[in-house]
Amino acid sequence: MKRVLSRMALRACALFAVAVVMAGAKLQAAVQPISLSYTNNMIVAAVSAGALDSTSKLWLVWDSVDRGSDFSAWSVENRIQYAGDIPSADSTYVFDRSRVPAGSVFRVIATKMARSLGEGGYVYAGANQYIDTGIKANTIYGLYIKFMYSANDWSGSNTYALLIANEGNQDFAVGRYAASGEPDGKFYVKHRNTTGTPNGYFDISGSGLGQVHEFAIANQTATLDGVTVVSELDAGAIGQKNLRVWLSNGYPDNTMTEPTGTIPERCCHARWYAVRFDDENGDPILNLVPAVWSGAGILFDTISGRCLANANAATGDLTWGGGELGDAIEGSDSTSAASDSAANEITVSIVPHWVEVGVPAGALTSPSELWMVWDSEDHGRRLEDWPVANRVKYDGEVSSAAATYRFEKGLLPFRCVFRIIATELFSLLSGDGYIYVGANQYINTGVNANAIYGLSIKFQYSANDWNQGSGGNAWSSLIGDDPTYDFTIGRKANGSDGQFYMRYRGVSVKSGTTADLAFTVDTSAPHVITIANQTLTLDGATAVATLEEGSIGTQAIPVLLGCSWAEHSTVPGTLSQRYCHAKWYSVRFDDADGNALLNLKPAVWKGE
Amino acid sequence: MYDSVSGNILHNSGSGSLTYDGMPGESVGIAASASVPILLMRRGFIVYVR
Repeated sequence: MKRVLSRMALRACALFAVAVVMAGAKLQAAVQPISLSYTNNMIVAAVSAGALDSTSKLWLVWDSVDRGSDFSAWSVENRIQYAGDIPSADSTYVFDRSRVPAGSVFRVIATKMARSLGEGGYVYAGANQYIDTGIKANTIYGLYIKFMYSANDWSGSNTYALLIANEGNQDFAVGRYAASGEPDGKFYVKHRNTTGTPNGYFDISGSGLGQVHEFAIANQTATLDGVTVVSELDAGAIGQKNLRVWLSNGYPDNTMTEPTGTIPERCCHARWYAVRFDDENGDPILNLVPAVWSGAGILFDTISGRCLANANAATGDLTWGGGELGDAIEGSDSTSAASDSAANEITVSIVPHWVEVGVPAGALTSPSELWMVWDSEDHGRRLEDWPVANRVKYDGEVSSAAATYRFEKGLLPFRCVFRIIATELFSLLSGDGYIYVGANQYINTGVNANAIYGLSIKFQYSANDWNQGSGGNAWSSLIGDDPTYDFTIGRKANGSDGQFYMRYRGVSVKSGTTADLAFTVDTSAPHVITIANQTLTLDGATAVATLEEGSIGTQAIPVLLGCSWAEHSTVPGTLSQRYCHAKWYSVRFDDADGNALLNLKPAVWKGE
Repeated sequence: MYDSVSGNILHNSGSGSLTYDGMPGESVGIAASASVPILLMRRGFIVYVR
């Protein structure tokens, strides 16, 4: 018998991805920003209602540099898709920040799935419909449009119905014109034009009407279907004004600034087959192709990934036709601003016999602890989520200066996942300790009103701000999300009657009366309010025993302490700015099964 | 305020710092920062018997 002993050691490191997702609130209209906040553990994206639908997705993306709002510009490896439901109501979405490497820039981007229309496909902009390309005329040096004109809206006189333009009279425009009455069959062309007199025209009346045409400007020449219609145009961009170019409409005549108020609806109805804008070097800066998105026609910009819809919200979706539904397009719908992922992260390298830990200056404050944790699977960034037996604390002083720390590698078993976790120590306040939330202060619990079925709060009210907000029937909220339409406990009418009120699941307390629940809370001592089993108690005595079944609120809007979101608002992000000052001793929210969603205790951390 | 459910600290979202009163009691550590998860793989002993 012969024994052969072979010993091999293979060491490898791999990055794992763990996305922890938690449900929350709602999305905004297209191409509006998503607001971000983040802690050491999570990135929270708050978005407003209505923009997303069942085809929508939400992504956390990151990289060493900001790659903008175009979803396709971010590496596939650097994206995490939100795994939960995307409701159309206001929502907040939580991503695990541990996926974002130290020093990275991150965004949250919403996308929708569009289907391209392929050959022959078009999007139709009809009565009072138009499309804002978002590209300014003074950045466009060449353009190509493929379209079929059908009719125009018209009102007034001595002006233009525009097919494509930034400003109708004295810059860049292609459109119909009439000094009085209805326009003739000509389309006038203005290029860097400050005189009001057109540079030239083309005529697609008669047999040309109802046909697909191609119009282009390049090399100081305008062509229709390949035939020159205007030559010797001035060199430079197609327009001189810093105004965006629209399709099927334009800014009001002689407008030098962004239009305000009602946009003149002198639209040229047209099928749009293709639109391309080029920069000074001939490189495309916009390349629109027709597509279908959520059942509506859109123009998809293959350059930026944007989906352009009808800019006139009053006239509905664009229609579409021709072509066959083709490739799926992941279009950027809305995006957060870039955020800098603070560089207070830990780096780990494996050297012979040691796990070496690099901590940048300022990442830790004293007192801090450094732990190595391991298991067969990753348990995330929280020390307490790792088995006690699988933790080892660094046996030495941990300072706020940049430093390298070492752990014994031999502590780690075969095939384990490990992390280095730094913890900062804070103190829970014992006994009757409290946190005071005063003037212009509030705490966002991050828990939506429609997820909360029970609560217990211990507080001592002291005063309320009143003058900063606006609107009648206003509330100063002690706790709540939306004082008008959902849940709040607070003061009304500047507290002039000395009472507190509650709104529950909507416009009233839903206790069999139409009035808000009223009760007196003095300022001399702490009080406890609980809601459980359809019963509200104040200091242990039942105040209402007939609350409506269900969550305390019906909206997916985070509940605040010390304030609430603006009245009549279904969009978190705008505060009522009417605050209740109070000492807070404890706050607990429960889910439908009585399990704690939130259990707040007063604590001191870094002197606050 | 410390949330014992999530392990997070909730801060003031408005102006300034929150004030407090009370006696500091139990110390709790929260994850100030953490490394990414790392998979450590090793091949063990291989024994052949003839």
